Amino acid sequence: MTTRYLILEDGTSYKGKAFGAEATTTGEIIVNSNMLGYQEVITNQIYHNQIIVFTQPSIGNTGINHKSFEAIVTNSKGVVVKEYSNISTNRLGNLNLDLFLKQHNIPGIAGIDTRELTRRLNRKQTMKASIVDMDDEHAFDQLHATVLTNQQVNQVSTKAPFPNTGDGYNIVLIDFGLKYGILRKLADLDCNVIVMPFETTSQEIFDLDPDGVVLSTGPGSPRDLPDSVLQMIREVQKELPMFAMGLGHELFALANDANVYKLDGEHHGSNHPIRQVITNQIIYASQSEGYAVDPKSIIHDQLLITYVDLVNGTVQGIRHRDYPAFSVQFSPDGGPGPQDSADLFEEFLENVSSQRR
Amino acid sequence: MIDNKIKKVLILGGGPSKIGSETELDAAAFQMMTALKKNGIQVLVIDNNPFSLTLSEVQPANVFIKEINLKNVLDVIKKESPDAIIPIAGGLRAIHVTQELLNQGILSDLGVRVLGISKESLKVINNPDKMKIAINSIDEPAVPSKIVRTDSEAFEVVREIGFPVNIKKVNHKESTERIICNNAEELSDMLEDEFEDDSVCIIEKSIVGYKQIETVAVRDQTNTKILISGLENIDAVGVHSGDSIVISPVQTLGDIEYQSLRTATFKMMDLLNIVGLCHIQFALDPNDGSNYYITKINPMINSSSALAARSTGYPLVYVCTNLLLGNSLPEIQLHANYHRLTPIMEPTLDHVVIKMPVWPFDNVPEANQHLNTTMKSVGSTIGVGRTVEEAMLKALRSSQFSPRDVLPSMYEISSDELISQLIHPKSDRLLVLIEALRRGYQVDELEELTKINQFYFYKLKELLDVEELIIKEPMKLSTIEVAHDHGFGDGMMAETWHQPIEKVRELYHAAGEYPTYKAIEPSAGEFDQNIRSFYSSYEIENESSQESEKTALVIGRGGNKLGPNTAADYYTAEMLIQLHRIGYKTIVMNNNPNALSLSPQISDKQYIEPIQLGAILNIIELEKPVRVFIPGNRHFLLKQLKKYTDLNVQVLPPDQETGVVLPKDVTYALNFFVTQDESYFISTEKLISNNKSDLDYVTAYETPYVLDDDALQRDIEESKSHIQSSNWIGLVQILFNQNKKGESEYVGIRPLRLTETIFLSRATGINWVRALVRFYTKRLDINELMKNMPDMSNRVTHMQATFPFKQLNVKVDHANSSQEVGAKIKFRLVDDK
Repeated sequence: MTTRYLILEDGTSYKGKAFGAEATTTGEIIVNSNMLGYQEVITNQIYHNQIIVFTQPSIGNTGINHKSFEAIVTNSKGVVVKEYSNISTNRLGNLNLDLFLKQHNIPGIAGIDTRELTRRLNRKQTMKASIVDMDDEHAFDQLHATVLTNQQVNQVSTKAPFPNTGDGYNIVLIDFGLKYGILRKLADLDCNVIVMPFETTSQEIFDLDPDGVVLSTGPGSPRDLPDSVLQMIREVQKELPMFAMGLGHELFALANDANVYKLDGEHHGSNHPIRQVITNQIIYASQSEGYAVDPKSIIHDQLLITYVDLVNGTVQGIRHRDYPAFSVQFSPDGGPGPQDSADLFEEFLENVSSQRR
Repeated sequence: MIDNKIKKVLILGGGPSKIGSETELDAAAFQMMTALKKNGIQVLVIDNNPFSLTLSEVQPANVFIKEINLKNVLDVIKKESPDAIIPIAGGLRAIHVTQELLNQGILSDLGVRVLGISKESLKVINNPDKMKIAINSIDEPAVPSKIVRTDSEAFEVVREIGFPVNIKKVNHKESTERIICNNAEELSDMLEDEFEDDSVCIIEKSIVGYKQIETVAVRDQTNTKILISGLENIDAVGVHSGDSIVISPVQTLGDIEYQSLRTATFKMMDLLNIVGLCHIQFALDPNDGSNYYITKINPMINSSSALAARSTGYPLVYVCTNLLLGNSLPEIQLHANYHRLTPIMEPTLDHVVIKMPVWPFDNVPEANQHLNTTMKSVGSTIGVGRTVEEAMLKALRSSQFSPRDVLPSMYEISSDELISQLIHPKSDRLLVLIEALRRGYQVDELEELTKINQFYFYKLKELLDVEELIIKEPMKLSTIEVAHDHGFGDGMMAETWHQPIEKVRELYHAAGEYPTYKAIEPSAGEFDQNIRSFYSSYEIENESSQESEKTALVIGRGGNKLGPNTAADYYTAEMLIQLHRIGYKTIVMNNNPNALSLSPQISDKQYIEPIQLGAILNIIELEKPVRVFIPGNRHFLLKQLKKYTDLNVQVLPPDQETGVVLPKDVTYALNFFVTQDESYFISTEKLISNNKSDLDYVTAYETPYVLDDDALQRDIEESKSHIQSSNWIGLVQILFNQNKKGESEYVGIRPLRLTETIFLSRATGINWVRALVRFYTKRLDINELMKNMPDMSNRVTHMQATFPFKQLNVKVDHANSSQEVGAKIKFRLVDDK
């Protein structure tokens, strides 16, 4: 395997072995500590612009399979791991992680002391990194000079509506960087889903006569989205049950006058205890967060905090006091991660069903 | 919140080691005791395992050295009235006793609670039918089965569940054999035999060849649950999971499948209202992982929970004990070395752990080596690495009987035998798989034959590629780097290249390359924790540094084999404790996941590494210990280490290879403590042989051995003269043989073996390991010690080795001491002979 380098903004260089595409890329470098589910992680649209470091020692073990896509078009900028296992287990035996990454022009680098790298990244603010052929001065100059786009949602959101048909409730799903896990969960509950572009207006939503609206997860900062999105949320939540996750949750908070701040370090994993405030029950969920809702900014007449991360104290869920609208920072659909909070989809449909009566 | 009503707790111990439960039970009981004491609770313990650390560390007044049975446990409960008993560190025996106590209503009459196991779970764990009903009641799948009385009923069931099926007669005491039927013809043949005497059969779907996955989880009183670990068995259903190679974290499942097992585990724990820990086994359809069955539920400590704890670094027993007392997971406070939220963080790993079984067949060659659903291995070793290959090779190196570091080969096996073993696995499984790859078998072929996921064959192939590189490119830095990354040791390379190991080491040391030690901790590097367990890799960051200027390194025994190994592990643990008490920082090196000596409380640092010269030297170079202790006979290692003259190496008990006079026949012995200037008589000991008076077959001991005063004085005098003319110091044993006329004669001298040293400790109430450690570090006040010698004339102590023959289904007439698996001890007053 070819020797390549992972270089960081702080000047560190790691020598490793290339797999996947031989492209040179730059992105924010983040650590994902899930123990399984590399395919779900790599195909999650939230990693647009990001290079993913896996703490799980070995990826590629189970190849690529059709059940584990979180998106078909994938936009992550690179994959960093200790060991890459070149194994194909799909039925035709022709697609493995290496080939998949090549198809999507994503470079991978293996043989990295990812434990050291993780410990380093955990001590610092989020930084940029590149996967390159040579770790020379030029490469570092390029890295420093690269400005990452903030138009991520615009790039990953669907341009045209599309359906995911079912026999049950009619749900509009706003795509900020749709994670297919959300579609799967709604399909399990027989929902008839219409996926709409992120700039859909409230009128366009009302015209579809839905029973409820879901705001998807997505990449980047909620502040990079146009105000029209917040306007849409304000108008829709009054009329229809709403459920938001990830970026959708951050937007829901902003639309209801709360603040969202950038975390010092991003957290991607499912090992943190999350406390449900009302019941005191502790659950675990797939978390992928770079931003969080500021609890001090919450107007308590409007919003209620429903979930809190016990490790860093971040708000993990909120609920509107007046409308059947709620949101969570984590991904209740897992992919990868625990199913402890999967019943939130059912809770949303309960809101839908009581609204219909 | 902790239940304040619990002030006094009785722990039921695990009894003598056997196949299926070795030192992990005592290690758990010991950690449990520590946690209970920290909560201000008085701890009582009942056990008859002489090699129990818990027995040594609980106050003597609270120790009951008795067999774990209904009567004895009840006696202790009645005498001591504890508020609660804890059976979950005592294996199945303790669970059965508890069940009996509950059935008879005795515990509720006496107001004694049972901690760690609920009535709900006691009902189901020993009753497969009730277990299936329970599993189905929460919409989880159990292996489908049905009771049938006629052919047509049988065929109806098969139409539902499909072939292959297992058929088993109900209530047929003599034979519990299950017979597998693959098609209708086999089934009707079988049914003809089965129904001829009006019997009833159980037809069960056969899951042979399914993938075996285990989960270990904890749950608190408030219903919070954490999955501690998933364990993947490399061997398929058909091989007992205790005999399978096991890997953690799970490698060949998708996240969807894994999460459904996690959810099922939690649902089961909720149903059974388990507060504490639970181990659950699953069987997954290899072609469709979403199709799985729950096959076993173990709400107690066992080797799987021990492996889960060891491989994640999660303080499982400590947390579990707190849960038993009523604490919730967020309330548990750990030692400051841990992150404060560790009890409630779901463990996530950035390393790979592989467990390899250790076999008894060298010592019991008559046993059938074919692996099936009855467990046969007597111990295990783990390899920890940053890659699957590294962990695999380290586990393999650790599990080999030979201390020489070579990649073993099975080149002599015939091709028929090879195919047979691929289909019908025997011990040394991994070597057979490697040999098949060497002979050009294809990965998919092997997956078909062995039902082992092809992922593992890819990994083994990679190891073979590296082996080839080592052979083709000797003494090159680039070769060494690749070899190290894949878990190969320096010794193996030195052997292949016919070079002294120093030359190999110099080569990469010259390039500034040294091993980097990584912590075994449960947050995958997310938190800075001061965890003291390490494994080696060859990477960038080394997280371990020299512990202190005054460190003692104790080299553990590795995986338990037959022979005095459980005793050696206890001895190692005791040495660590004693060395610590006299001011040394202590470091232990071991690779047995069940080892007492790896309990985090008893040493300052633990290295999980193969016990081989290269790995030992690496640690010595980093830690610069002022003393190195090797418990027990390790001739090869000792010889190697002696070459490093600046090392202060001490073997305890001293090496028996030289200066030992061993007779063929013995009757009794006199034990002495020998210093440079004086020898002190301690005890007489009857040596009870399984084969006349043959020393090799001595497997039971009794002290005192009554001699009349004159004879005793004469023997003492004679012993002293032999001691004087020998070089032995420390605990020394003088052997005597009595002829038919009753005349005794001196026949031999040897250092006291470690099993008997522990026996002597139990008999005298004096900790002789402590005395030896102090003696060798020149801190022993021998006169003070001898003053405390008890009068031993009124009590007889008897220790009997236990053997695995019944479990291995063999009959051995004369068992010898190399076949011991454990021991039991009892006392009696001299009068009730």
